[in-house]
Amino acid sequence: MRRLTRRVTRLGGLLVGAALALAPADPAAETHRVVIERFAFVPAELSIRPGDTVRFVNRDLVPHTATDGEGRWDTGTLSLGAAARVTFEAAGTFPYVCIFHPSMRARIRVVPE
Amino acid sequence: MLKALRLTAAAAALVVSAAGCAAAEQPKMNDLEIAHTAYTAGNLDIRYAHMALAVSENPAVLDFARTMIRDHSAVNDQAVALIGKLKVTPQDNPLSRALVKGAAEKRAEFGRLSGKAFDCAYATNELGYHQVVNQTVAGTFIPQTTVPELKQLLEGALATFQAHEKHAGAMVKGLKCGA
Ligand SMILES: [Cu+2]
Repeated sequence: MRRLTRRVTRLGGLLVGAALALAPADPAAETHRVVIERFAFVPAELSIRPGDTVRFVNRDLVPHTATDGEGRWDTGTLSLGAAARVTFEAAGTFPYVCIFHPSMRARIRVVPE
Repeated sequence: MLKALRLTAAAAALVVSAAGCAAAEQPKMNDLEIAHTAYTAGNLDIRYAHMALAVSENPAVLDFARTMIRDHSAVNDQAVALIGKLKVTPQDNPLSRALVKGAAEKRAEFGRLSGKAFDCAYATNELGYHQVVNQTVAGTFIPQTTVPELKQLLEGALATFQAHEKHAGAMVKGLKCGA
Protein backbone atom coordinates (compact mmCIF):
# COMPACT_ATOMS: atom_id res chain seq x y z
CA MET A 1 0.00 0.00 0.00
CA ARG A 2 2.73 2.37 0.97
CA ARG A 3 4.54 1.46 -2.21
CA LEU A 4 1.43 2.22 -4.26
CA THR A 5 1.06 5.63 -2.62
CA ARG A 6 4.65 6.47 -3.40
CA ARG A 7 4.15 5.44 -6.98
CA VAL A 8 1.06 7.59 -7.33
CA THR A 9 2.87 10.55 -5.82
CA ARG A 10 5.70 10.10 -8.26
CA LEU A 11 3.23 9.87 -11.12
CA GLY A 12 1.57 13.04 -9.87
CA GLY A 13 4.91 14.79 -9.93
CA LEU A 14 5.48 13.73 -13.52
CA LEU A 15 2.08 14.99 -14.56
CA VAL A 16 2.71 18.35 -12.97
CA GLY A 17 6.03 18.53 -14.80
CA ALA A 18 4.35 17.72 -18.11
CA ALA A 19 1.64 20.30 -17.54
CA LEU A 20 4.23 22.96 -16.80
CA ALA A 21 6.14 22.04 -19.94
CA LEU A 22 2.97 22.31 -22.02
CA ALA A 23 1.98 25.66 -20.58
CA PRO A 24 5.14 27.67 -19.95
CA ALA A 25 4.84 30.09 -17.07
CA ASP A 26 6.33 32.89 -19.15
CA PRO A 27 3.83 34.04 -21.79
CA ALA A 28 6.67 35.82 -23.62
CA ALA A 29 8.54 32.52 -24.20
CA GLU A 30 9.15 31.82 -27.87
CA THR A 31 9.65 28.73 -29.95
CA HIS A 32 12.63 28.78 -32.32
CA ARG A 33 13.40 26.37 -35.10
CA VAL A 34 16.61 24.54 -35.97
CA VAL A 35 16.49 22.64 -39.24
CA ILE A 36 18.79 19.66 -39.76
CA GLU A 37 19.64 19.66 -43.44
CA ARG A 38 22.51 18.30 -45.53
CA PHE A 39 24.28 17.15 -42.36
CA ALA A 40 24.21 20.56 -40.68
CA PHE A 41 22.21 22.31 -37.95
CA VAL A 42 20.74 25.53 -39.38
CA PRO A 43 21.33 27.99 -37.83
CA ALA A 44 24.53 26.68 -36.30
CA GLU A 45 24.49 29.49 -33.72
CA LEU A 46 21.21 30.44 -32.08
CA SER A 47 20.59 32.96 -29.30
CA ILE A 48 17.43 32.58 -27.24
CA ARG A 49 16.03 33.73 -23.89
CA PRO A 50 15.57 31.62 -20.76
CA GLY A 51 12.25 29.74 -20.99
CA ASP A 52 12.33 29.61 -24.80
CA THR A 53 11.87 26.36 -26.68
CA VAL A 54 13.85 25.09 -29.65
CA ARG A 55 12.14 22.78 -32.11
CA PHE A 56 14.61 20.57 -34.01
CA VAL A 57 13.34 19.26 -37.37
CA ASN A 58 15.21 16.69 -39.47
CA ARG A 59 14.90 17.12 -43.23
CA ASP A 60 17.67 14.66 -44.16
CA LEU A 61 17.10 11.15 -45.45
CA VAL A 62 19.04 9.68 -42.55
CA PRO A 63 18.46 9.81 -38.77
CA HIS A 64 20.25 12.45 -36.71
CA THR A 65 20.18 13.61 -33.11
CA ALA A 66 20.71 16.91 -31.35
CA THR A 67 22.58 15.97 -28.19
CA ASP A 68 23.99 18.29 -25.56
CA GLY A 69 27.78 18.06 -25.28
CA GLU A 70 27.49 17.47 -21.53
CA GLY A 71 24.49 15.15 -21.64
CA ARG A 72 22.02 17.70 -20.22
CA TRP A 73 19.45 17.17 -22.99
CA ASP A 74 18.96 15.01 -26.06
CA THR A 75 16.31 14.88 -28.77
CA GLY A 76 16.87 11.16 -29.29
CA THR A 77 16.89 9.79 -32.83
CA LEU A 78 15.10 12.00 -35.37
CA SER A 79 14.26 10.26 -38.64
CA LEU A 80 13.31 12.08 -41.85
CA GLY A 81 10.54 14.55 -41.05
CA ALA A 82 10.64 14.00 -37.27
CA ALA A 83 10.86 16.86 -34.80
CA ALA A 84 11.57 17.31 -31.09
CA ARG A 85 11.28 20.26 -28.71
CA VAL A 86 13.73 21.22 -26.00
CA THR A 87 13.00 24.00 -23.49
CA PHE A 88 15.94 25.91 -22.06
CA GLU A 89 15.25 27.34 -18.61
CA ALA A 90 18.75 28.26 -17.49
CA ALA A 91 21.07 30.83 -19.07
CA GLY A 92 24.31 29.54 -20.52
CA THR A 93 25.99 28.20 -23.64
CA PHE A 94 24.97 24.79 -24.89
CA PRO A 95 27.22 23.21 -27.51
CA TYR A 96 25.58 20.17 -29.08
CA VAL A 97 26.35 17.47 -31.63
CA CYS A 98 24.75 14.69 -33.60
CA ILE A 99 25.93 11.50 -31.90
CA PHE A 100 25.83 9.63 -35.24
CA HIS A 101 27.81 12.19 -37.26
CA PRO A 102 30.64 13.74 -35.23
CA SER A 103 31.23 16.53 -37.77
CA MET A 104 27.78 17.98 -37.01
CA ARG A 105 28.27 20.60 -34.30
CA ALA A 106 26.29 23.68 -33.31
CA ARG A 107 25.54 25.89 -30.32
CA ILE A 108 22.64 27.48 -28.49
CA ARG A 109 23.19 30.49 -26.26
CA VAL A 110 20.58 31.18 -23.64
CA VAL A 111 20.97 34.87 -22.81
CA PRO A 112 18.91 36.71 -20.16
CA GLU A 113 17.45 40.01 -21.37
CA MET B 1 50.43 1.98 -44.80
CA LEU B 2 51.61 0.68 -48.17
CA LYS B 3 49.17 -2.16 -47.90
CA ALA B 4 46.36 0.24 -47.03
CA LEU B 5 47.23 2.46 -49.98
CA ARG B 6 47.27 -0.51 -52.29
CA LEU B 7 43.82 -1.53 -51.06
CA THR B 8 42.41 1.92 -51.79
CA ALA B 9 44.07 2.02 -55.18
CA ALA B 10 42.68 -1.40 -56.00
CA ALA B 11 39.18 -0.39 -54.97
CA ALA B 12 39.38 2.83 -56.96
CA ALA B 13 40.83 1.11 -60.02
CA LEU B 14 38.11 -1.51 -59.90
CA VAL B 15 35.25 0.94 -59.93
CA VAL B 16 36.92 3.24 -62.46
CA SER B 17 37.55 0.32 -64.81
CA ALA B 18 34.03 -0.98 -64.23
CA ALA B 19 32.64 2.47 -64.99
CA GLY B 20 34.81 2.69 -68.08
CA CYS B 21 33.62 -0.68 -69.24
CA ALA B 22 29.99 0.24 -68.65
CA ALA B 23 30.54 3.50 -70.48
CA ALA B 24 31.98 1.70 -73.47
CA GLU B 25 29.00 -0.64 -73.76
CA GLN B 26 26.30 1.87 -73.03
CA PRO B 27 27.37 5.52 -73.01
CA LYS B 28 24.54 6.49 -70.68
CA MET B 29 22.96 4.44 -67.94
CA ASN B 30 19.20 4.79 -67.78
CA ASP B 31 17.31 5.75 -64.62
CA LEU B 32 16.53 2.15 -63.71
CA GLU B 33 20.17 1.11 -63.99
CA ILE B 34 21.30 4.12 -61.97
CA ALA B 35 18.74 3.27 -59.27
CA HIS B 36 19.98 -0.33 -59.24
CA THR B 37 23.64 0.64 -58.90
CA ALA B 38 23.02 3.28 -56.23
CA TYR B 39 20.98 0.78 -54.21
CA THR B 40 23.64 -1.92 -54.70
CA ALA B 41 26.44 0.40 -53.59
CA GLY B 42 24.53 1.12 -50.37
CA ASN B 43 23.84 -2.53 -49.70
CA LEU B 44 27.48 -3.47 -50.21
CA ASP B 45 28.54 -0.87 -47.69
CA ILE B 46 26.03 -2.31 -45.22
CA ARG B 47 27.65 -5.73 -45.72
CA TYR B 48 31.12 -4.32 -45.08
CA ALA B 49 29.74 -2.69 -41.92
CA HIS B 50 28.30 -5.97 -40.62
CA MET B 51 31.71 -7.53 -41.11
CA ALA B 52 33.32 -4.68 -39.14
CA LEU B 53 30.79 -5.13 -36.31
CA ALA B 54 31.71 -8.81 -36.14
CA VAL B 55 35.49 -8.38 -36.32
CA SER B 56 36.52 -4.99 -34.95
CA GLU B 57 36.95 -4.05 -31.31
CA ASN B 58 37.77 -0.41 -31.96
CA PRO B 59 35.01 1.98 -30.70
CA ALA B 60 35.53 4.49 -33.55
CA VAL B 61 35.31 1.73 -36.16
CA LEU B 62 32.24 0.20 -34.49
CA ASP B 63 30.49 3.61 -34.30
CA PHE B 64 31.27 4.25 -37.95
CA ALA B 65 29.99 0.83 -38.99
CA ARG B 66 26.72 1.34 -37.06
CA THR B 67 26.27 4.70 -38.77
CA MET B 68 26.85 3.11 -42.19
CA ILE B 69 24.14 0.55 -41.49
CA ARG B 70 21.71 3.16 -40.12
CA ASP B 71 22.28 5.68 -42.93
CA HIS B 72 22.51 3.37 -45.95
CA SER B 73 19.43 1.51 -44.71
CA ALA B 74 17.53 4.83 -44.44
CA VAL B 75 18.57 5.92 -47.94
CA ASN B 76 17.75 2.53 -49.44
CA ASP B 77 14.37 2.47 -47.66
CA GLN B 78 13.58 5.75 -49.41
CA ALA B 79 14.71 4.22 -52.71
CA VAL B 80 12.41 1.23 -52.19
CA ALA B 81 9.52 3.60 -51.38
CA LEU B 82 10.18 5.62 -54.54
CA ILE B 83 10.47 2.51 -56.70
CA GLY B 84 7.15 1.30 -55.29
CA LYS B 85 5.52 4.66 -55.94
CA LEU B 86 6.78 4.81 -59.53
CA LYS B 87 5.91 1.11 -60.06
CA VAL B 88 9.23 0.36 -61.75
CA THR B 89 11.89 -2.34 -61.36
CA PRO B 90 15.56 -1.33 -61.14
CA GLN B 91 17.78 -2.94 -63.78
CA ASP B 92 20.91 -4.92 -63.07
CA ASN B 93 23.82 -3.70 -65.20
CA PRO B 94 27.59 -4.17 -65.69
CA LEU B 95 28.53 -1.52 -63.11
CA SER B 96 26.34 -3.12 -60.43
CA ARG B 97 27.82 -6.52 -61.24
CA ALA B 98 31.38 -5.14 -61.08
CA LEU B 99 30.67 -3.56 -57.69
CA VAL B 100 29.25 -6.82 -56.32
CA LYS B 101 32.23 -8.80 -57.58
CA GLY B 102 34.75 -6.26 -56.28
CA ALA B 103 33.12 -6.20 -52.85
CA ALA B 104 33.10 -10.01 -52.62
CA GLU B 105 36.85 -10.03 -53.30
CA LYS B 106 37.39 -7.29 -50.76
CA ARG B 107 35.40 -9.18 -48.10
CA ALA B 108 37.50 -12.26 -48.77
CA GLU B 109 40.62 -10.16 -48.16
CA PHE B 110 39.17 -8.69 -44.97
CA GLY B 111 38.27 -12.17 -43.78
CA ARG B 112 41.95 -12.97 -43.38
CA LEU B 113 42.59 -9.93 -41.17
CA SER B 114 41.97 -9.05 -37.53
CA GLY B 115 42.83 -6.34 -35.00
CA LYS B 116 44.45 -3.18 -36.28
CA ALA B 117 45.15 -4.69 -39.68
CA PHE B 118 41.43 -5.26 -40.18
CA ASP B 119 40.49 -1.82 -38.83
CA CYS B 120 42.93 -0.07 -41.15
CA ALA B 121 41.91 -2.12 -44.18
CA TYR B 122 38.21 -1.51 -43.48
CA ALA B 123 38.65 2.21 -42.77
CA THR B 124 40.85 2.81 -45.80
CA ASN B 125 38.48 0.93 -48.05
CA GLU B 126 35.52 2.93 -46.69
CA LEU B 127 37.32 6.15 -47.54
CA GLY B 128 38.20 4.97 -51.05
CA TYR B 129 34.79 3.43 -51.64
CA HIS B 130 32.89 6.59 -50.67
CA GLN B 131 35.27 8.75 -52.72
CA VAL B 132 34.65 6.69 -55.85
CA VAL B 133 30.90 6.34 -55.26
CA ASN B 134 30.63 10.11 -54.71
CA GLN B 135 32.51 10.88 -57.92
CA THR B 136 30.18 8.55 -59.80
CA VAL B 137 26.97 9.85 -58.20
CA ALA B 138 27.92 13.52 -58.62
CA GLY B 139 29.60 13.26 -62.02
CA THR B 140 27.50 10.63 -63.78
CA PHE B 141 24.34 9.55 -61.98
CA ILE B 142 22.82 12.92 -61.05
CA PRO B 143 23.49 14.56 -64.45
CA GLN B 144 22.15 11.52 -66.34
CA THR B 145 19.00 10.94 -64.26
CA THR B 146 15.78 12.11 -65.92
CA VAL B 147 13.10 11.39 -63.28
CA PRO B 148 13.06 14.42 -60.93
CA GLU B 149 12.22 12.38 -57.82
CA LEU B 150 15.12 10.01 -58.43
CA LYS B 151 17.44 12.96 -59.01
CA GLN B 152 16.29 14.47 -55.71
CA LEU B 153 16.86 11.18 -53.90
CA LEU B 154 20.35 10.90 -55.39
CA GLU B 155 21.14 14.42 -54.23
CA GLY B 156 20.12 13.48 -50.69
CA ALA B 157 22.16 10.30 -50.98
CA LEU B 158 25.17 12.27 -52.19
CA ALA B 159 24.99 14.60 -49.17
CA THR B 160 24.94 11.48 -46.99
CA PHE B 161 27.85 9.75 -48.72
CA GLN B 162 29.91 12.95 -48.65
CA ALA B 163 29.45 13.13 -44.88
CA HIS B 164 30.52 9.46 -44.73
CA GLU B 165 33.62 10.25 -46.80
CA LYS B 166 34.62 12.95 -44.30
CA HIS B 167 33.82 10.66 -41.38
CA ALA B 168 35.91 7.87 -42.96
CA GLY B 169 38.80 10.29 -43.47
CA ALA B 170 38.71 11.21 -39.77
CA MET B 171 38.54 7.52 -38.83
CA VAL B 172 41.58 6.64 -40.99
CA LYS B 173 43.52 9.52 -39.44
CA GLY B 174 42.52 8.51 -35.91
CA LEU B 175 43.62 4.90 -36.43
CA LYS B 176 47.16 6.03 -37.29
CA CYS B 177 47.50 3.17 -39.76
CA GLY B 178 50.96 4.28 -40.89
CA ALA B 179 52.37 4.13 -37.33
CU1 LIG C 1 23.66 13.23 -37.85
